[in-house]
Amino acid sequence: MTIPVPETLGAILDLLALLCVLVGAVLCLAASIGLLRFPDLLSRMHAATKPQVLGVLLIVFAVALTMRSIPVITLAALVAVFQLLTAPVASQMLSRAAVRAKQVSLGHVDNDPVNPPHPPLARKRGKAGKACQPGTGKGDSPQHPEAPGVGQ
Amino acid sequence: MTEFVQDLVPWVAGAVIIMLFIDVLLTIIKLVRGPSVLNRALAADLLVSTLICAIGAEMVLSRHSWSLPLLVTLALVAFVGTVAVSRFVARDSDSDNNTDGMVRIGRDSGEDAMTKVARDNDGAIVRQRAGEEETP
Repeated sequence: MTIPVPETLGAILDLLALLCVLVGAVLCLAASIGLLRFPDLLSRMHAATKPQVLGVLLIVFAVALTMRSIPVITLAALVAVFQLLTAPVASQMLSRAAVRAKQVSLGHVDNDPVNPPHPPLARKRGKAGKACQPGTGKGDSPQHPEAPGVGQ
Repeated sequence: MTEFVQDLVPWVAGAVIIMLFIDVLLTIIKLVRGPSVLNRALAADLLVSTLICAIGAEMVLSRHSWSLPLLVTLALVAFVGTVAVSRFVARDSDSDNNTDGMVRIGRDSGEDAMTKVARDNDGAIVRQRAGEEETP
C-alpha cells in the first residue's frame, strides 16, 4: 500500500517531516512556558491551544509524510479531524466553567450574560419603554436590588 | 540526499527529546502547583497533547506506524477528560452562585426552560411558569 515516490522526492519529504516534528516540539515547549508564565486562565488557554491544534497537526502530517501509505494517511487524517473537532469544544467548556465559577475577570466585557456588570445595561435588555419603570418590571428581572429606581 | 537526511535524524531526535522533556517537566510543575481545578485540567490537557506529539515524533524518527491507533485513542480521551472536569466544576459551583445578581435555572430543582426565574423588588427569587401571569 506504500505510495511509490522517486528517491529524491522521498528524501525531500523525509526532510520536511523532520522539520514538522521539530516545529511541533518547539510549539509544545512554548505552550508549557506560557502555561507557567501567563497570569490568568484565559491567557493560559491561549497558550495551551497551540500544541493542541497546530502541534498535533504538524506531527500527524509528519507521520503521513514519512510513511506514505494509504492506511497511515487515513488514520492520520482521522486524528487531525478528531483534534480539530474536539479542541474548540473542550476549550469552550473549560472557559465557560471558569466564567461560571468566577475565576476570570470580565472587566472589559460590555455585555456579560453570566455576571451582568452594569445594572443599566442589564435592565435595558428587557422590554423597551415599560421596562424602565420601577416596580412594574417582572419581565426585565431587576437583578440588582441596589440599582437606582428599583425597590421604591 | 538520502544519506544526508538519515544523518540528520539523530540530531533532530536529540533536540525533540530535550524539548519535550522540558515541556513535560514544566507542565507537571503547573499540574501540581496550579491554583484551581480548571488550571489543572488545562495542564492535564496540555500533557495529553504533548504525549500525542511525543508518540508521533517517535513514529516519525524511527519510521514505524504501529502506534497510530494510540494517537486516535488519546485524541478522544483528552476531550472526554476535559469536558468531564468542566461539567463537574460547573455543577459544583452552582449552589453558591445564586447570590449576587446571578439567577440560573437549576437542573434538579424541578424547573425547566419554560420557567422564568427572576428577582422581585426585595431581592427574593421569583419563579414563574410560562403562560401563568403573576397576580400583582
